[in-house]
Amino acid sequence: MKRLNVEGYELRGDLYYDAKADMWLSVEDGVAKVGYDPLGLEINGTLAALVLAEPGREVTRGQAAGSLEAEKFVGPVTAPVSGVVEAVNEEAVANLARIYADPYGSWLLAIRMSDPGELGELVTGDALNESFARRLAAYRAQGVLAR
Amino acid sequence: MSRVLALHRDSGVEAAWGLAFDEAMAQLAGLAELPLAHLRLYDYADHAVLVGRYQRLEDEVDLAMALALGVSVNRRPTGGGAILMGRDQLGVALALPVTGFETPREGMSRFARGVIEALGALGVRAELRGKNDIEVEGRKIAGVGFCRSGEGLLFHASILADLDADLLLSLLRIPLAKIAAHGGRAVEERITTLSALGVGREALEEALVASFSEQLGLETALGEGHECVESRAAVLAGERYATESWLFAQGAAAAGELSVELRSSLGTLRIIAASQGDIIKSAVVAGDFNEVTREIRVLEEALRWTVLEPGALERHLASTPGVAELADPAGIAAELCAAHASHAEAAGPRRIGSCYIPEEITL
Repeated sequence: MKRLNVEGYELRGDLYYDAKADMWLSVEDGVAKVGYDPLGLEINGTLAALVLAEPGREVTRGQAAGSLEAEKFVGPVTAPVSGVVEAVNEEAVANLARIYADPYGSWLLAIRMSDPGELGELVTGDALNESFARRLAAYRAQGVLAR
Repeated sequence: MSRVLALHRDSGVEAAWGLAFDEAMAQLAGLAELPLAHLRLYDYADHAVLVGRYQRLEDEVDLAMALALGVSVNRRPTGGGAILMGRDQLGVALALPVTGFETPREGMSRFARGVIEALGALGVRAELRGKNDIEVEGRKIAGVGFCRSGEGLLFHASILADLDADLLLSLLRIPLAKIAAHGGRAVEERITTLSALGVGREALEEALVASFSEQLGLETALGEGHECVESRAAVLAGERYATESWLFAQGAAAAGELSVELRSSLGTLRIIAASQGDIIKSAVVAGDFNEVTREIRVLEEALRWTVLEPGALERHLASTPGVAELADPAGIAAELCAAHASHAEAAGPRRIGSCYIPEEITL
């Protein structure tokens, strides 16, 4: 597995990343396991609660697949791909500290994808470095990330 | 869509209605022929305790006391801790479409600036401390919260025009109540009010209207779209805010209380922290000192909304200026995490998953 480090943030070359949802995805046999990436955790702030879609529920890329509370903000957990939720990682949801200790070991939802073509809208492999640097710069320009 | 900032004023509202109207504004902001944004300035009937979206009511509020005192209780759509609202707490709700919104932190900071600039126009120098407190000279004067509902955003601030501290401490199960029970000036040292600052409430309301109107670049229109918002609020009140299922909805994790003692440059400190799952929601620091110093305030603020994971907590405290001068960040992190582990063990195995009801899927 190729590991990258962009300004202290660990990225993995074998994963897909959704910059809008701040999530990573690992894909196997048409099922995407998704979790927050390290930058997503920092941008959201400390998670106090996660409520996720139950198995069997259909979710749509860009739409809510649950909700979260982070530092008094309550908002959606955005689905990075469309499909049907196959599983929720209850262990991670019930132990939020583990997500911070091991973001890539803490998948949240397993989604059976209904449109694998959506993966083309995500970033992976060699494109990661440049894409992630752009994302960092954008957050810094907004003043939501320390320089 | 009407490119105006609709202005709504209310007074003495009941808890369910107050909350429903706020969320209705968010859901309708920018839709069809309705105003692009809404600003509501209001207060609740004496008194109402409002817990945060994912808190457990019984963990946060002395319900028997609330019942005995005739204090209503309800649940906000925004996050954070329990608050006491009434005639002396000015509610500020701002709703606008989600378009253009980037991150929660950016939004919180941007809209809190509207409150800060209004206070500034009246000669009060306020600042956003941490993520969601507005303070004047180190004392909290307002709390802010933020949520998304449908395609709208709701920013909320509760500004202390005045405060019945004894009532607050008798109703809320917060660390401050523990310290205040031992006497001293625990509340006064951490909170201030418009009355204490000599600021008139009417003047502040006018300054808030001017501040948000300028920030959004919109002219204000008194009461525009009010009937539509009322209709939507009536639905939300009936389906959500006036229901027991909403009131007693279970939060994501149980609340706990952590108490640790450690050495510091000011002598022995006692940190009392309220946790929710693996998160510290709030903390107060007590000790044998005459006044709450800047260092104490910095530590209290630094502990709020942190994860009880030793490495992450130590890194956070070590990177917060002023904390290391007061006490060893590694020691604070280790003590609090050990207390948390001990508390979790005593509480027994956590029920996994059963309380995660996906009711917010339509967000």
